[in-house]
Formats: sequence, C-alpha cells, structure tokens
Amino acid sequence: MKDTELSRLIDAHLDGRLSASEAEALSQLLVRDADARRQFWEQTAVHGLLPEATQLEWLGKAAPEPERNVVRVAWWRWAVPLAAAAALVLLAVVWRASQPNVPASTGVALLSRVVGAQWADAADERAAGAVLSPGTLRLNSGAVMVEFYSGARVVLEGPAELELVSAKEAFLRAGKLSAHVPPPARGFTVGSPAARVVDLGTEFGLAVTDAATAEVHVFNGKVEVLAANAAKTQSLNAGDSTRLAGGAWTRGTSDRAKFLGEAELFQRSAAQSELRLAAWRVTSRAWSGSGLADDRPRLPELSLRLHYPFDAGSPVERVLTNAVAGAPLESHGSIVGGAWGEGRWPGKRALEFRGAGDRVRFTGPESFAQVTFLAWVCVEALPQPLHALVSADAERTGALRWELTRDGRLRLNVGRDLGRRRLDWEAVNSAPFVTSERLGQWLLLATTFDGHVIRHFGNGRFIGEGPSFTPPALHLGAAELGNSPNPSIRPLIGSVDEFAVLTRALSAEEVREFYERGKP
Amino acid sequence: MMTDADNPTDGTPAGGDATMRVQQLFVRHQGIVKAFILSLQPGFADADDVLQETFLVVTRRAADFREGTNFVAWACSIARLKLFEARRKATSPALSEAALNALCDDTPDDSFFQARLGALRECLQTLAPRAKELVWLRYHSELASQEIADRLAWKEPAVRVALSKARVFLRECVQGRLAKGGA
Repeated sequence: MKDTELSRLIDAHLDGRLSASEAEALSQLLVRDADARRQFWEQTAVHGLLPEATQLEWLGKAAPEPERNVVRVAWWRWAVPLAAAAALVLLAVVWRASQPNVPASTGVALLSRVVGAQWADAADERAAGAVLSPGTLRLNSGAVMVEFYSGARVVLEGPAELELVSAKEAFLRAGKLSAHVPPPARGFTVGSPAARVVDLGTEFGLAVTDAATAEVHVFNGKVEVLAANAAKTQSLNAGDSTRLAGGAWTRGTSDRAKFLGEAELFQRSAAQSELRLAAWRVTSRAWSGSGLADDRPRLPELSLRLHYPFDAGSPVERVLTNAVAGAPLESHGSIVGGAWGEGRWPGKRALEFRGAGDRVRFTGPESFAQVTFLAWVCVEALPQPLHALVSADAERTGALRWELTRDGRLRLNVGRDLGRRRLDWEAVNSAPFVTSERLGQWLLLATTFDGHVIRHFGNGRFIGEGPSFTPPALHLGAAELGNSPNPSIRPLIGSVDEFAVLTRALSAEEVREFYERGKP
Repeated sequence: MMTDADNPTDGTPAGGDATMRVQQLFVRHQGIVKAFILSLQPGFADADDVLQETFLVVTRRAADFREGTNFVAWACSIARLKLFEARRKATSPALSEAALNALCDDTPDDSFFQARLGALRECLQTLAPRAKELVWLRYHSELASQEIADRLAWKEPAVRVALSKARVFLRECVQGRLAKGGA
C-alpha cells in the first residue's frame, strides 16, 4: 500500500485500462518483487470477491440492491366479481386503464443460442427459443446466435447492436458478427453505416467500430461489398479481407480468429449450460433442505411446502417427488399423461403438457395466510381465453387458481363465497407477459399474495399487482398442475420443469434471486 | 423441516458419484475460484468463460480429485491453465505470462480469500449509500462503468474514480478487521 504507483497500476489492470507500456511495467515489477505480488493479491482480492460478497445468501435476506430500474406497471388491473344471475360460470370482469400493443407474430428469425448475454436493456432480455420480430438487438456482452428464416445464421458478439430488417437482411450498427449463409439464403445482406455486404452463399465476418469504418473478412465462398457512398461494388473471395476507413479500402487476408464462430459458440454454450445446471442442482437441493449438510445452516426459513424439481428417477416413473425435506407422502405428485421432454438445460428434464388429459395431481397445503407460486414454464401456445397453471379442486372461500390468459397475462383467482349459487372468483391480472415473442422460451412465472395484494412477476421482474379481499385462509388441498377440473379453464400447452409453492409471500428481491439462480 | 441429512431427495442422475460430488464442491467454492480468476482476468465476461471452462475440466477429471485434499487449490490449478489459454488470445495489453506464472506460484490459499470474504461482507454494510449503490451496480448487476454512468447521469471517469475509492475503502476496512480479529 505504500507503493502508490504499483497501486495505481493494479487499479488500471482491474479496470482493463492498462496501456501496453503499463502492462509491461507492472508485469516486470510482479516478476521481480514478491512484495509487489503480495500487494497484488491483497488489492485484487476485493475486486475478485465482490461478486460473491454482493450475492444474496440464498433466498430470504433482503438485498440492499437499489432497484431503481424497476418500472412500476401503471396499467395493473384487477377484476371485480359481477353479480350476474344469468351467468352460471363466474365471469370476472376486467377493466383496463390502457391496452399496450401486443405485437403480432411477425417473426423474421429465431434466437437459437444465448451465451452469457447481458442485454443493454433488461426489458429486451430474450432467452433461447425466442422468435425475433424486426427490431434491434442490443448486446452489452456475451454472444447470441440468430437463425434467420431465410436460413442464414449469424453469431453476434457483444458489445453489438444489430437491427433485424427482414428474414434476408440485417443492419450492424456496431460490433462484430460472423455469418454463415447456406445456398438457400443466397443474397442475404448485412448493412452497416459505412458499407453493405451482400452474401453470395458463404461464410464471412463483419466488424463495425464507428460510422465510417467497416471490416469484412471472407472465410468461404464470395461476397460483394458496397461502400455507402459508392456505386461500384467490389468482390471478395475466400481468404480475402477488406477494411474501409476514412473513405479508403485496404485489402488484406481474412482472419477467422477475429470473429467468434459457430463451433466456439456451441462449445461456450455447452459449458455454460453444464455449469448452470450443476449450480441449479446444488442450490435447488439446499433450498429444499435436502442438500449437503454443510450447505444448510445458511438457509433461512422459507415456508417451502412444495417443490417439484422435475429432476428425479427414471422417465417411466409416474410420481413427481416433492423434494422438500420431510414432505408428507400425499404431497408427491401423480403424473397423468404428459411426456418427459428436455428442460431448461440439456440433461434436465421437464414434463410436457400437450393433451386435454395431461396433468399432475397433488395435494397442496391447506389453511395458510400467504402464498407464493413459482414455476419455470415453456409455453407453446395460448389459444383459449384461460389456460391452467394450478387449480384447486375445492370451490370454497380462499381457494386458489393460477392461470394464464390468452393475451399472456398471469392471473391469480381467489375463491369468495358471497352466498350465491356459484362461488365467485376474484382475479388480479398482470400486464401481458407471455406474449408471442416469449412463446417457446423458458420463463419464470411467479405470483405472490400476502393476504392484501397480489403481485405478479415475469422472469423476476414485477409485471403488475392489484388489491384483493382478505379471505380467512387460503387453500390448495387436492389440486392439479397444468390442468383444471373446471372445463372452462383449458389445459396448459407447454412444459414445466420446476414448480414450487411457499406459504409466505416472497419479496421482489427474493423472486429476482430465484430467477437469477435458475435462469437458463 | 430440514433435520434429516440423508433424506432421500429428488435424486440426481447417478447421484452420489464422484462427478456430482465434485460439481457440488465447485458450486460451493465457485466464489473463491472466481475471485482467483478475476484477480488475473478482471473482465467479468472473460472471467466467466474461464470459470465455465474450468468447471468442464473439473467435471471431466472428477475421478482425479482426492477427497480430503484442498479442492480450491485443485480447481485453481485447472483455472490457471485456462487463464493461460485465454491470455494467448488476448488482444488488449495484459499481464505477461511470466507475471501470471509468478502470481500463480504465489497464490494465497483459500483461507486468505475466505477470511477476506467474511470481512468484506461486513465492510459492505459500512459503505456510504451512494458508494454502496455503485458497488452493487458494478459487482452484483455486473454493469460496465459506462452503463452505470448512463444510468446515474454521471460522467464515466467519475464512476471509475468513485469505484476505485470504494475499493480502497473496502480494502482498508477489510484489513482493519483482519488485523483486529486475526493477529
């Protein structure tokens, strides 16, 4: 610490701002001097340990995180029970202050892989499987693979900004991409502020650093390059590169190492999945109170009553194990129909709900004051007005039904006996979340009810809330997952790979943490 | 609720084998292994790549790990190889291989990191609110200093200076605590 110059150099190293001569000076110092190395470890340890030190300790402790970027959804809505004598089935009338536009499904490409991606705007966060409509992908770091409907494939490496124009055209505003264009996609074009690249069936890389610079490398086949302010195109063949800067082209040879290729992306993606799956397994076991003994003392009281990790036994098994330590026998789920498919990661299983009969029967907790539902779900379609997530059999005050609406809203219904012929159900909807561009992706759906307010979360983010009456107690009891005994609520069409019920309303931070630890 | 250590659980594939055991150890000690990597490879994204590749090798070589030996030291020795591979691909100025070698040979053991992690958690609570927010944005949300600047309407250099000051404060606080408790 006495050596302020050394301290300054180490700080520059941590900020990634070493100049070549500083890197050289610091390196020599470290090789020469054992005291310098001691100071290096002392000083870098704070940087290295801070990601771990700022983690929440499992779930339960409030994070001091200033959630200043949470946008409170202004158009929450809630339903009022309608005394409609004619209505045999309850009708919940939902009023809305404003109706955000739900984009029509005008996809031009599919997001096929996502590796360590930090999106520039958290609201743009997309998972693998997402259908991409014309629009801009802004990536701060990490990499993604985009498969255009024309057949062209692009690996985009952050930081980058790519506009998807159509199935055959994209515009790279900044950053690097490598494109693989099979014969059916010939003519696939990538624009940039300085130049356009028209592909004639091949593999190439494009790098854009600013509005006047573009660098094109051809690995295979042939491309045509046209400067923005020029009329004449130039052709590049395999092995060629060209760099436009200050209005002039400089030819060279192509360098694959400058671009992230598909093979490398696949490798990274496989590594990431394996680590995330292993991390999830360990967290998940500790969470259920069934992990390694030395993991458990850190676990706060969670009121976790039901936890199906869908990670058990053999695929012919028809019992869904409730992983909560000491769980009563009747809380294990019984699978009716439903096929085993792939979950959030390769090697993780999920239960697919496809047919009208598919469901999991289980006995949930009874008589509790608060509740949290958490489910990792991949929704394929929402063709009907209501699709079931969880449905209690009982028609009584405080009974719970958790659903998705056709326009992708999460909805929690609480039964209320007002002495009419049929039980009334009061519902609170979220803003639309499972919209067309989120179909086919793994999503964390979560709803909490603290006895007064129902709150909904999509991928850990707040998506709406509304007040509710306070029933004397909440009930699940005999219930089903992915289907409903009520014929007006249609089955879920999609897969579930984790499901939990807690008899406590988790905080927004806790839901967020659950998402972070489980996201694919 | 969580009394029976050996309660049969959801059962992981081939539960209880060396691979699962080593993966559990890795996940549990991930924070320390990551600290080791981040010291030498300070960028979050690059460090995560190294961490993931290390995990893959650790998984493949699970049978080589001898129970009772130091897991963190073993994992760091594998991370070291991966760091060198990453170093060879580096495009911006970075520490020389000789410096990396010297540093790796002098890597403190995991009790060094454990002690500092504990103290650091306590010291974080004593940071001024503004500094705490910066540290959270940088290290929990893993935002770049430019993104933090955009979000707080600051200038980017101001963010870097403030973060550097926060790190100095934390380092001094950690050392104060260690001196009081440890010596």
